[in-house]
Amino acid sequence: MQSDGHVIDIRDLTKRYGELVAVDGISFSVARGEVFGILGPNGAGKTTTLEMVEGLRKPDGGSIVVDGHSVWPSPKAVKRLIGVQLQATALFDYQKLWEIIYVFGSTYGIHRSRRECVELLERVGIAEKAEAYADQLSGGQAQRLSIALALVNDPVITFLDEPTTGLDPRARRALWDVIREINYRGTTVVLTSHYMEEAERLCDRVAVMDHGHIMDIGPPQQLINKLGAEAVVTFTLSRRLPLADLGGLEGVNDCRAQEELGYELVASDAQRVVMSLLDRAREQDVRVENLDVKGATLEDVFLQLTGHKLADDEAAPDGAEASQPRRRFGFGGGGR
Amino acid sequence: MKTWLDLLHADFQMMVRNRQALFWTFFFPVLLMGLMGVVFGQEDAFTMNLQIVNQDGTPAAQSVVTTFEQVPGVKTTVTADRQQALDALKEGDYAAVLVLPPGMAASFAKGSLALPFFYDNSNMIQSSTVQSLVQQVLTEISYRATGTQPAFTLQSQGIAALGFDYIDFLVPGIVAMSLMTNGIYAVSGTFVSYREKGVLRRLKATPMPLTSFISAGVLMHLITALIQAALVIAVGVFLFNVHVASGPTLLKVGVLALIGSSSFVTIGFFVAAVAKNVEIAAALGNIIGTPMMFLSGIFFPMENAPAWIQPVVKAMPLTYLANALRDVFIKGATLWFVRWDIVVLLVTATVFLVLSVRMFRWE
Repeated sequence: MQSDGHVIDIRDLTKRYGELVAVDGISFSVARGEVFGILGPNGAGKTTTLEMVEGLRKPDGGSIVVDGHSVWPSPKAVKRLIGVQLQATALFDYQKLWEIIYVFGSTYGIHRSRRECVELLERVGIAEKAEAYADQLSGGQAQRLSIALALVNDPVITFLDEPTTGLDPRARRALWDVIREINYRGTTVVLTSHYMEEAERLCDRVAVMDHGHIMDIGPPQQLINKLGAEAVVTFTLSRRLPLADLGGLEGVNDCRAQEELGYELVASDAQRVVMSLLDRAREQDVRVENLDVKGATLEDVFLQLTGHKLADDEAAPDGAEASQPRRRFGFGGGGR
Repeated sequence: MKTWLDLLHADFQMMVRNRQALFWTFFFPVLLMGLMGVVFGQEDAFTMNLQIVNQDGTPAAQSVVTTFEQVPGVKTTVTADRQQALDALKEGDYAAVLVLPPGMAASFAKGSLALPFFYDNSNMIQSSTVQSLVQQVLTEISYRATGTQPAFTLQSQGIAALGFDYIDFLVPGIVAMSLMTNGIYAVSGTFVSYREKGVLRRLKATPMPLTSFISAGVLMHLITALIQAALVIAVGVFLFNVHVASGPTLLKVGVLALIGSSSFVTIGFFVAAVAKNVEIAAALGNIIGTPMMFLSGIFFPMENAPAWIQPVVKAMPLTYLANALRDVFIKGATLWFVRWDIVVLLVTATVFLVLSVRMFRWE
């Protein structure tokens, strides 16, 4: 297993709840050292998949090998190797943060000093809360604590189940830095998300999942490019240029003038278009301002693959989503 | 092992820091005991103040006095002034006055003995009790003197139980009650909230077996039970002058506390197993706990309760714990003497353990 660089190998994994097939014979591998995302709406089977890999839920069929160990039937060996962050935070009342870190470390046979516990809290950016109780944390801080708990055993792989659900955009971005840092130190990260932006920004590879199936798998950009979708490049210029001039740029499919000095270019390869636009502007001694590229996103990939949109807290609900019952789990803000 | 001790430590830390739990666990039983002791203890309904007027003064008369002085729960004082004693009786200072007239020893030797006996009949329960008590003691003395039968020991239930202060009755009851509430409410509340919050699920993701977590929790509750019992008894002894039977009474009380507590801890687990959330657990705990608290003879003896309720009384595990604790605490009974109470408690523990293991859900 390790020879081909895979740290997780999943074959034909299946889980049923009565009539419902929650995970329907999926297969995929996770490479050592990557950030791997499972992207899909609530109810797609992401959490069930993760829980089977984590040894929390017994599969009905298929095999899971983690770092050379078969997870089932006895998941204990794998539990030692992995760090787990669950959707519902597990917090003791009346235990200080550093004490919670200590107790959880102790369950792995790791007995940290207080200073070492605080160091781990420092890694996720909540060292100043070391003496606080868990119920005094904000939503973002609670998530950081729960990620710290996923690191207590210095795991080979860290599983993060919707780590940023319920957080405001700023807290979410701050958490991305934490996750990048974990990965930078050499830990493989497997996360689930229903935020396409998160998967796009954070993940080396993404599995798009819906109704228990994996629809496609690959690096986010590759999945987007596969769509052949067009990007829209908008900008303003310091003085007007002839439309034909801009329309003639390499890779531009369409060109429109907007109000004032605004322009809009439609392109299949936004990067190439932006480069040639900047070249042209320099030649003409024109300044390009307010440059913005609205490319195709994983959202579009998802729409293409499944025929419906991802349930996204930030997106306004639309008709496509109404057919998808939206179940919200997670953290009711800073309450816990 | 270190992990397990860490868990135990964390469990204790959490309890000590939780002021509310601390109050209900340790201070509420003491408070309740104090309140009940002050309110109901003052009537002295369970103590006999007996005045003996010794006009005889012979060694035989003195031996009667000594016998009465040894009767537990009877406070015997001696005087030679009959009129003064009767005046004091009218004042309510005494429950009864027994007169040992001059020449008592002589008539006693002839086998006929009529001792003037005066009692306060304003309190019916007390007067009937004191009559039967004195009658019984005298019967014993006469048997002993005539030698027709071996001497009685005054271990008759009615007299021993009623012969003590109310607080002596109350303390073992409060110990039993606090073991019950700690077992049922604390255990079910804690574990249901752990399940609700996903703590159990999160712990399942660690390599530690959940049995370690649960056994640490159970041990914490058992130790807490011992501390509770010790605290109630200590306050009872120092503040209310509770009688503790001689011998290794506290050791036996400790054993009973552990057995009783394990029986209620398993009931607590059962509640946690069937209750979906904390609110349901609390309601269910009340449904089980409240009738027990009032129908198990914690505060008042249930012997005098109507007959129709006796089957309910007998169905309560707490009845057996309270009875066993009382027998051991007051009368210095052996654990063998209360073996059937222990059996009932252990059977309860086993039944509920099996039920909770079958029905427990981790999420």
